[in-house]
Amino acid sequence: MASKVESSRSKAISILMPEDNLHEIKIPLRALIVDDNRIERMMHTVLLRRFQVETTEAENGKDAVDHLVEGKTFDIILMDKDMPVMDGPEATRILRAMGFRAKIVGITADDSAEGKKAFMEAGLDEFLIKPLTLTKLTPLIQDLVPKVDSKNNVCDSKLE
Amino acid sequence: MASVALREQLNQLLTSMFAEGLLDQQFQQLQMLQDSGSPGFVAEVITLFCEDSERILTELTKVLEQTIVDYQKLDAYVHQLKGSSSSVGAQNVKLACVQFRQFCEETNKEGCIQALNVVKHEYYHLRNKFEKMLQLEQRIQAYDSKQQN
Repeated sequence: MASKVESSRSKAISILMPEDNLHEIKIPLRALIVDDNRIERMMHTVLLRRFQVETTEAENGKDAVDHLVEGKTFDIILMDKDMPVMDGPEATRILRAMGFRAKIVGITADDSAEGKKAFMEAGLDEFLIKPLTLTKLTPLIQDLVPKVDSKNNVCDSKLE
Repeated sequence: MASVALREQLNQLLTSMFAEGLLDQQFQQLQMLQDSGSPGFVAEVITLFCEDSERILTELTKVLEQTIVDYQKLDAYVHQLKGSSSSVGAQNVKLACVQFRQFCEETNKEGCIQALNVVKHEYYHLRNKFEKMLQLEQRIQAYDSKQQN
């Protein structure tokens, strides 16, 4: 398990102060931001960079799928629901069918129960209502960070 | 000190914008994201918002000028504007878009035309305030730079 952590993206690791005998190791996470609105992409990018997350952008679901087809890897995808060319639910279904197992979080302003249900059924892990804030993103990103004990054994790795 | 007076003017302007409902707490989120690493972030977002908004308003006007209105297209544009305005904290513009979408759903042309006028009014009112805000910020920065040199 420790070697799995070490082999994956070993650049720029910072170790924070120990807390309850756990050392929280921050490894640059990679996020794909999928949204047809450039302002929202910009906002989400800046928000994620606050957590030192590396970001890539896609303007619609098809562009998102193309990134994965090209072999790029991501720890998390923020997927807007309503987009031209290919919407969020369709892109999510295709990505899951391709074998993408990391976290896909649906982002939308549509907080209706039926809208949420349809999007979740496409294969989302979570659902957030716009606009995104640091408060909404914090638990999401913290959940992705692997924790190790004082002997550098991974206790809870969410990395794929 | 001129810098103090300028900052006071800026604070008063922002306070009034929040009080009028032009801005909501999302704008404060935006301000929190501006730091030494991205000092011009708020100005950049506002500039992009204004560019996108004016493009969308032009498209909305064109769609509504057609004899047969494509309500799906109309709604798609309003959806975009609602999204942008929500992201930057442009509360009144966002609320006007919500009303506009209602008329799109009802395929109510008269309602849509009125709603577009409301959106335009709210947007241009906000743009004027944003311009004043950015001018004040530039003057403060210029004054601070001069003091440091």
